[in-house]
Amino acid sequence: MSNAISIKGLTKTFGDITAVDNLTLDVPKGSAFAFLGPNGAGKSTTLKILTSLIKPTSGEAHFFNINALEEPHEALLQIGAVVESAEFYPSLTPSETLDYFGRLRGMNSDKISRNSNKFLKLVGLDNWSDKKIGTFSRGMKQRLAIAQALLHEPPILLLDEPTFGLDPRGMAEIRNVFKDLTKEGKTIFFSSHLIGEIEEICDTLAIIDKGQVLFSDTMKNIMKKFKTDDLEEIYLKTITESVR
Amino acid sequence: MKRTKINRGKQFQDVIKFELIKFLRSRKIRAALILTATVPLLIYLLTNFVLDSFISQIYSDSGVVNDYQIFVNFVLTLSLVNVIMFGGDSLTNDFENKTGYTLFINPISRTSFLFAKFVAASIAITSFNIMFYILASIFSYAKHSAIPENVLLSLVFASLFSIGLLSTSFALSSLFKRSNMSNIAFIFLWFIVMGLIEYFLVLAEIKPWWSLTYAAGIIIYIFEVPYPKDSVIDIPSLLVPGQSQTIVNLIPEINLSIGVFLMYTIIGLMISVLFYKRKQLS
Repeated sequence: MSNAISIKGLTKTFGDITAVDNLTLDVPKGSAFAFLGPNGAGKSTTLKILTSLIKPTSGEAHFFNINALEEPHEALLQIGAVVESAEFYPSLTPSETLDYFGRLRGMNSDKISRNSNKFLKLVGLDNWSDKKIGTFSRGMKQRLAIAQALLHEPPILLLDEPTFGLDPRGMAEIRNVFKDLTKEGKTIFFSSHLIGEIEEICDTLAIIDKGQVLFSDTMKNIMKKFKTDDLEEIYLKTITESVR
Repeated sequence: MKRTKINRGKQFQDVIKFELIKFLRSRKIRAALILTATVPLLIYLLTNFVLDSFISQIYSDSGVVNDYQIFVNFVLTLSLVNVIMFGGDSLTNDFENKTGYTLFINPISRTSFLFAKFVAASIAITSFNIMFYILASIFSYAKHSAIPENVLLSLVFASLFSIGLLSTSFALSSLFKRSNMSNIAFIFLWFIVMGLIEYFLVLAEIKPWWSLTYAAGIIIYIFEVPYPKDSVIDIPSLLVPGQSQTIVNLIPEINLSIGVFLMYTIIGLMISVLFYKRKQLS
């Protein structure tokens, strides 16, 4: 199977702190790939590098055959991303925000309008499309963040805690959206602390700590290796050994 | 793999459009409207009904030119305030408010964002300058049934001055993480540092031709026909009654001052690009 994302020797330092340390990872095309690790492990930094929000100290990252560091604009068209707790301009409405981002992504007006309606409905914001975002709750902004990530129908989705701020019903709805997207063949690179969520959505897993990948494999192989299907137990055991 | 061709010019226009929409829906537009409408009205009321006799003592010829110059004196302060409102947080708010996490993951360069934001802020500030001159002209016509020559030229100079000022605001905004800090630095620079330097240089009879606010003098002097030259004036002494004191009136040159406006704009933008490109959402 070909890789949707290939990361080689990625390193990012902030002064004396190494947030990402020679990280190498392959994400197979069409997989739902979980990126799991404790706070400060380097997950968000990796996602920010992949989305061109920050520059790495060294290393490479490719989306399919596009070098994300040398051709960031072309690479960004291949991905939809939700990074950190998303914020939007409070004076704009969701429709206007998606119109703005769609234009920046080179989409024509018809496609922007069609996809805005489709994805705002998918995330449950269709009745709020013309309300100012300034009045929105955290959960509603997060739904909009997911809609903007899907807007240009990218083959790869990079999601950092995508259900952050959603209520349990909202979380379940959004999980179903992601499950459907994997069935459509999208590649999902999914960073989360919620192990139950990862178990439900993902088929492949990498555990990261101190900026390094501790291991990466399919869920089936990992469970076979650890002789348990309890992902939480596997995770805690791996992280505890890493600390030692 | 399908590659999408993006029209960079269209992207640039779209950023300007949405920046202007944001301005139009913001509170600062209301503040700027109130300020721009109130200042000429207040000047008109004060100079005609409250301080009329005082004004006529200061100006031997309280004609259309002198009256208009009183209005235009305030365009410098208005520009400083409008630049703070429309330019002060342009480059910092996406970092401060975290909107950059959704904005900068779009395929557009930071340089394009910066220039589009600069054009949008320039449009907003110039619009208020135009509004100010229209009101000043209406009030001038109401009193004198005339407006002075070179109003349009003065407006062009005022707009070039505002854009130069905006560029320095962008440069400071690109250097600081928070808009509060960049606005304080802007106010400190133009109201205190440059004000003091200019004051002492003029006292020493040295022309601070390189200063943006000194060059802005052409906005006011352009109404005088012929354009004035450096002169020495005797005025009644403020310290010793009955005696006079000599002051040197240093007049900025028109072409040199236009050059100064453009230099501030170019250098300010160069600094902005250099630092804005390096800003990271970390």
